[in-house]
Amino acid sequence: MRLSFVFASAAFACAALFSALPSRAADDKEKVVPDKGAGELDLTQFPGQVVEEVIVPVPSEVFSALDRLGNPDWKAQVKHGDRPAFTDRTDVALLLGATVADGFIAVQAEDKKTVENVGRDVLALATALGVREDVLKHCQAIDDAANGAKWDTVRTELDATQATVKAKMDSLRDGALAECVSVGGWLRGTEVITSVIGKAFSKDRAELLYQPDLADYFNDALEEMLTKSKNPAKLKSIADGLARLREIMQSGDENLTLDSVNEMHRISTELMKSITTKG
Amino acid sequence: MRLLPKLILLLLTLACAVPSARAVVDDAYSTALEAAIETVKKGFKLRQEYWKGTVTSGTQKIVKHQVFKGSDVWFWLGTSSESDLKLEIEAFDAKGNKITLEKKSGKGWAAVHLKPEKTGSCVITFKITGKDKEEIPWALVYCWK
Repeated sequence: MRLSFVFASAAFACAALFSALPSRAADDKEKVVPDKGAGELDLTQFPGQVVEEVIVPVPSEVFSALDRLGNPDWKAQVKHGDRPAFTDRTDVALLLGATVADGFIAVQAEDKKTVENVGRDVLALATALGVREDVLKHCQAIDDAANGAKWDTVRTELDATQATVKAKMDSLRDGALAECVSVGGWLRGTEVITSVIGKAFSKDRAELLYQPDLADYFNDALEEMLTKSKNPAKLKSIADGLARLREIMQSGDENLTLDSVNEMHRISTELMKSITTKG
Repeated sequence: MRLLPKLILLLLTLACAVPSARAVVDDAYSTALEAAIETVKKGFKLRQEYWKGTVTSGTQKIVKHQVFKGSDVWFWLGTSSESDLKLEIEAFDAKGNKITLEKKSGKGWAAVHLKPEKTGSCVITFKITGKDKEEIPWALVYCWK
């Protein structure tokens, strides 16, 4: 566990310890962390246990936040080319995550044809991972919902597809592969979001990219997988890219510049190329 | 050979205990889901993935989660509703400021509502109190819009 997270955990544990339990409205906010200055916190007062599991937001969560700040041209972001036939399970898992993210983008653009193609590709990739039967019902539901333009249902089923694959991987004691699904999805989401923000930059929009803990978490997960991977060079380049994304996120103290956003877009596009092509 | 009956008994006990443990965690998840239905009816989207585990009575768990400025989020904590348990839940931003907007609770569940003013990690802390040193199954789901 990273030290920074230990500090943060201590902060929240202390905060909870000192906070009054009855409900308080948000306008009654109080600083409850015993800050000793310069962010130093008293670890001896850490009474809580951190839940290690991280749930990665689905792309729609940040897309919705972007929608509130304007009206992005989602149709311009739809891009779903032919999927290469990978044999390595890590490659397939990364591609599956990216493909599900393509589905969320197509939903945002209300693009039926792409959603149908995504459903078909998700099923093929799930088959390659040996989880076809588990996701079949979701893929059928995606197809039906797309035909009826029931976009909320498509979103729910895309989320369910990813959750089902990850749960199955976990049950097969293949949790690392499950993380690859999340990494692929998050990177495709980041590629699109940086593109949208780069085209109509504002400080408020750029703030939505501030996700250093997630970048950190993915970087750690991939670094752990390097020793077991058949293709460590690819994973290493993705892990390095994630580390670079995290550096950029934290470089501006939560205030990302247009140059930073463009650099994040360049990195995520390059990483997505390595995920969606053979080579 | 005297060991054999004991071994069989042990295996039978384990075989019964594992599904039972899974069942109580699933009960916790069901309770959280049932409680969350009211927000889903109001247009919130329920995430399919969720956190789960067990917590020792009276001790605190900490869940860290990425949230986005302008979002509207509810976290629903559920547990096995058969016992009489006290559930407490709070939300904090990345700097340790309490950002709980509203809380709700019922038999076997408690929920916290937040509308983050900044994008970044938030932390949900919770505590479940039952019998002394009791291991209590829990599940935490969230809805957003």
